[in-house]
Amino acid sequence: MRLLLKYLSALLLALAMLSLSGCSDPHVYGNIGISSGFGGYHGGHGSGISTSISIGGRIF
Amino acid sequence: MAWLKLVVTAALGALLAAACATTRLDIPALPGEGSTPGKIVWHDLITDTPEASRTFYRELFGWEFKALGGGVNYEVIYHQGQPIGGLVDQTRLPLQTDISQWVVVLSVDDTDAAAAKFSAAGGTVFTPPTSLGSRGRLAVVADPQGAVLALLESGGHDPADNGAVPASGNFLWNELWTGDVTRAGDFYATLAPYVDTARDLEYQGQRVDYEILSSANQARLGIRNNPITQLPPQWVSYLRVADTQQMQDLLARVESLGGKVLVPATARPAGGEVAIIADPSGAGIALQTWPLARASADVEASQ
Repeated sequence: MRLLLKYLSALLLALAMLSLSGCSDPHVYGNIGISSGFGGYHGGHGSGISTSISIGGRIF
Repeated sequence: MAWLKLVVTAALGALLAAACATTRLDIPALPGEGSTPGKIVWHDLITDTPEASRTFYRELFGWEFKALGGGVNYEVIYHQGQPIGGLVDQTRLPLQTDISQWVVVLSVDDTDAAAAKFSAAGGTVFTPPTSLGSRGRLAVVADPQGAVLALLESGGHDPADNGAVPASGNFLWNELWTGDVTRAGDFYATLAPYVDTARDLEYQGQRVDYEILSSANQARLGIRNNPITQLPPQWVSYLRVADTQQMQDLLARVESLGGKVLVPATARPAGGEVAIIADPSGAGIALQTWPLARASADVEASQ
């Protein structure tokens, strides 16, 4: 019985710690899961850049 | 005695969980007092090199970074005293993949309804609508062509349209680079009361489809053909640079700060220059010259 109570206590503490670990970090961006953005693009000649880049940006 | 320990432990756990529930995801509200659905109202930088990224933007643009209390993995970025974005330390996220990038945050009236439209159209909902406390209700999604963005229902705290020209080093414009401009325009037009203006542009004999989505008589964003074939569809944000001299000065310092010039300063047919840089994490951002004189004239013309 005492052993069972010890295990229950440990379990409750672990649950409390788990709830705290999710407390401090807003993991809203932790689910993206795919590499996106400019990562892996290194620019320079022959890197797939089109001169039409100059068309972009704010125009008025 | 053993039962007492168990009760104390349970009480402690309940207290911790309750404390967490009250503090979880409480991100400060946006610095405004309005609702502007369809406007890009915020920018978050996800970086796997937070210290180097802070130094990079601090040295180039004078940005300041203030961490939230309580160990929350979020820092507010300030420019000339005004909050303009956030920073998330990727090394503290449960990820195996490097997702360092800038994420645009689009204002919507109803995050749940907007996220459902992404799902229905074949997009991806990475993070379903989640309460961020004072910040509002946010979802992280990819549009049907794969461009990642966040949707935010700010509860009436969107930054107001004041007609002011952004200061040098602040956000000037946002653009979606995609494979099918018309399809993307049709989809985004379902998210807010946009007016969609198509512009058939041409550069050196090459057609460039460009659409501008406006709401409340303000141009909100552009949608164009992806000019870099190696890149997946994505959102690109532009920072304002005062003039070509400042552009040169900035680009000359990028590499010494751990970044990279991905596209050097390039003349625009419409005037000024554009360049693309990556910070030390690899997150890319565009720079565009936008002189105050021209901007003032345009503001007057639009009134």
